[in-house]
Amino acid sequence: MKAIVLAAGKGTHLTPFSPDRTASLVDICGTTVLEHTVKLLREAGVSDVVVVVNPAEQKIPRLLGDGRHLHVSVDIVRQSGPEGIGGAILEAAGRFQPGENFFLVYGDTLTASNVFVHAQQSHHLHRAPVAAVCLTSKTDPYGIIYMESGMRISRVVEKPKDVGLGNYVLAGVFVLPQIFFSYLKEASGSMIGALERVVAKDRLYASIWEDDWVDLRYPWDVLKANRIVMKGWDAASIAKTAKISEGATLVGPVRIAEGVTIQAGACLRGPCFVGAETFVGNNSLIREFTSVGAKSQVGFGVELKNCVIFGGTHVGRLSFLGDSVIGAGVDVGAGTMTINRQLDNRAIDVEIAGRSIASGLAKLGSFVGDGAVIGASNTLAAGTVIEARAVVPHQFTHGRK
Amino acid sequence: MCGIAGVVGQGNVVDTLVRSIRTLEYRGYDSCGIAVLQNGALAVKKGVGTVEEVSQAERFSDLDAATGIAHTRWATHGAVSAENAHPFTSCDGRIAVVHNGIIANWTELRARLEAHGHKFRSQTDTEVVPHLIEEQLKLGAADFETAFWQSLNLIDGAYSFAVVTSLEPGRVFVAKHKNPIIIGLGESANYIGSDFNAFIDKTKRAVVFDDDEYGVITKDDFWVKSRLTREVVCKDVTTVQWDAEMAKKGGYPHYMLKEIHEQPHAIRMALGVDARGMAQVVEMLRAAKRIYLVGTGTTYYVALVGQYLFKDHARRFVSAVAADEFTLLAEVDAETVVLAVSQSGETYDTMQAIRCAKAAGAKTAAVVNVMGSSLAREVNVALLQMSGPEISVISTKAALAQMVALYRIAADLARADGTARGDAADVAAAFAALPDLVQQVLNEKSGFLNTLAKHTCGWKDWLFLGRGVYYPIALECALKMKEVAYRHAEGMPAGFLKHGTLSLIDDDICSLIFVPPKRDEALHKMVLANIEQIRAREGHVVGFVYDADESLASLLDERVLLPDVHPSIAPFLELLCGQMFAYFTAVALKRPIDRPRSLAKSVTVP
Repeated sequence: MKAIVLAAGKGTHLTPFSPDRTASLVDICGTTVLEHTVKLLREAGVSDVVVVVNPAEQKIPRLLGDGRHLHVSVDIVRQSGPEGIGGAILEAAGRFQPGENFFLVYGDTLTASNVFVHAQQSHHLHRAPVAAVCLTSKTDPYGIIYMESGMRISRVVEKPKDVGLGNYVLAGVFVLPQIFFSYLKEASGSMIGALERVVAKDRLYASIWEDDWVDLRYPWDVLKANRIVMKGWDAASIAKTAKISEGATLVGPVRIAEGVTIQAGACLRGPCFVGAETFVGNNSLIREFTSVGAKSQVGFGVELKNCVIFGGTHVGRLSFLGDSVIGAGVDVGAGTMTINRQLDNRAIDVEIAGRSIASGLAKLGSFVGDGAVIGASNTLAAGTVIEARAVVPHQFTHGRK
Repeated sequence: MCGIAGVVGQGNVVDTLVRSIRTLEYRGYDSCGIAVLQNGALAVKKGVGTVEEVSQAERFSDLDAATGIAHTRWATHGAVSAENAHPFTSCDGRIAVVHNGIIANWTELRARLEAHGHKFRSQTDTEVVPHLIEEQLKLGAADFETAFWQSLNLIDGAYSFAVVTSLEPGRVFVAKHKNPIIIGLGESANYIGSDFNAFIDKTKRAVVFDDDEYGVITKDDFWVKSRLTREVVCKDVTTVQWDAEMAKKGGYPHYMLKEIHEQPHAIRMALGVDARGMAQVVEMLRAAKRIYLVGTGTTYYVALVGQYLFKDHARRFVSAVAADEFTLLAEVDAETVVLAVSQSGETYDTMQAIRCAKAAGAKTAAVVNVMGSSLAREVNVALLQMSGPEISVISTKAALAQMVALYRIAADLARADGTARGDAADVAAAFAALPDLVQQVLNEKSGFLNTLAKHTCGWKDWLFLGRGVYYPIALECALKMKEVAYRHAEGMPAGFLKHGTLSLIDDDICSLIFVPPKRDEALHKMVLANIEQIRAREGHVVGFVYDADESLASLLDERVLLPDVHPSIAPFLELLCGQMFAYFTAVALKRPIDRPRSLAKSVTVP
């Protein structure tokens, strides 16, 4: 079977990380979401993957190449026509033959276990097109479905305004017939319009996904994705070339990549990940669910808790980063402190693209875009967003400003 | 629904056949049978019970053959008996047939065949098929395939068939119309089955039949033809990525969720329960001086709900007694009626209660799901709820359907007594709308119940509180929570709080309140007062509610809001929510949902 993976799109809400990468390029423990998806597709027996990317996309072709290293054949298609999901799918229409069934996958979602195998089994069972569905705390950002007994979908509704609805939502994984492209054209590129046609003409079945699922929509979803991946770890692994001082303490499933240096007094509590050639200084504490990307430096006495650091980042001594996501090539000055909760433990709101968005999370730190520089001794309020390449001056009480 | 399997292979395939129908038992398990070609002649064995029981009792393992078919049955029409079990044979015993489906014109076919001298041994539709083929051969059909094809053209209905005959050894004939049949292609053996489960341990290469096709398998070949044109159809061989368990669960992650989602159908079947049996039960109840409702575990709570339903709809007090306490408690004589409730019809405690009642001369009746079960056989009148097989150890659809059946009995009794309530017609209309409302709640509230369960799954202790009929509903939902989520949940009347239980309220216990709709004014008010009592002690409270009222919302930490409905069906929607809440809590806690520790589906021991 072949698959279309949608990796275009602006990812507006994923600020401050989106100008530099689409959601599918977010790095989780040394692997991008896109590579993770392609590997799972391969496990589900997919041999050919058509990846739809933005017209000017540079990174994805470099990352996937022809797909040989992932044991699939990769075909990159640029979305030059109409925008939106429908437009993206239609770019790939020419790759499929009449009568052929294919996977359609949204590139900004992530599951730990294999959602594709599950959807394929549902497809074989019902001998009909399938949409993976799951339950989320909110239904309004998604398409929702109504189903009958036997899991046949009777109706699909786009992003419902009705807050009284707690339906299963479309999880961004489908098995569809080739005629779907014609339906999309008939529906002027509307995904829901095309799915309605499948419901009416071909029958559409739900494949209920109960395992963890995350849609990388907001910056804090990066933390969720990281957690989902790490939750599945049951063993530690340390690369041969890693240099770990005798005085360091490693507890639980700690994964350490090639060329890492860990100095005396450092304590790593798994699950956590340290990327290739990263330096972890004396007496630092790397706590559960932290991922430090490749070629980073973690200074003396730094505490990291439930953090994702993309790589090439420097965290200065005696800093605390908690429940935060730090972009690539960021310079975090010494003594930087992220505040990660409100005094009354209220859920934290974050300003995204000019709007205040409720994260629903009581513990949340800061989101720092690629290449930003944070001066020494800064204290960042819970839910702070620092744009890519922004410069935050040093804070000090004496001397010349 | 029934399960069909067949094999043509080398050596002895009897074991393979038995294993095949065992994996198909989820499609039905009240009787089964096997037909094989042994030394050029057909040998048929069949009986009542599970595959395990029948294969031992009838000594299937004595057979030795390379070609055969088998069947496991779930009776919907015709009693459960050895005569009515498949396979069926022709008069000369040279043709054997198994069937899944319903033949619409079987009575006229049978009359015609009987007129031509064919002798029938069962009351089933299927038995006409072997005789029909035999008749076509007598009438001069060129060969067996032609006779089979001519017979198919005479049959009107839904079917999948598998046929073996001593006239064509080493072959199994199959046909499909509206019911599934699949060929599995193995190594010097080919298989057929109602679904992939029948042969998935042997091969993953399969050919799927479409409607109006028939065909043949041999040891190393097969063909498929169109019934309409008799031309060979070129079929694709598909390789299946197959999770046998998932298929049995109809694609649902667990039987429990599947069965929760089957409740609209189960309610419809319970509302349409057999009219003759119903009339007999009503007559029996009218003549009685004392009526007991008996069940155990979930069915005891069904009986408790029944108590309120009889009061509400028939103005009668009946006593619900736990089956395991029945002999210690009940006064039974010839003027007593004992109405038992059971899914399996094999529950030891319930059987004991019924035997004890019969010994004292009482009349007995039952609401039961499994036709042909001990309970169904031993009571004077058995009402079959027709909910379909319930596989999950945690009972959901069977319990809800039983409650609906008890409402039907109460309503019919009231009509016969002339004591029906003034709004009986409204109530009947509300019940008729219940299946659609259940479907609506399943669709629109699953997300909220899942979110609630995720937020609250850390609580180890729970009080489930309700008043009136919501009290046994609370008991049943608490039982679900205990069974599947392993959480300590105590169901109790909300009125009990001030008589002792309030002392338990602290940070470590969460209360779930089953709030009736506002239209149920008195009950609604009482429950609100109870919530206040818990709030006054800073207890955590969640609720299933019907009104969006702010004054109520402010009393609850979290709530699930249900659509406004007639008060007489409101408790059933809250039961549905309770089932789903327990299910999602168990999912969040990663419990083995369909096989909870220490529990078995049918408790047949003391």
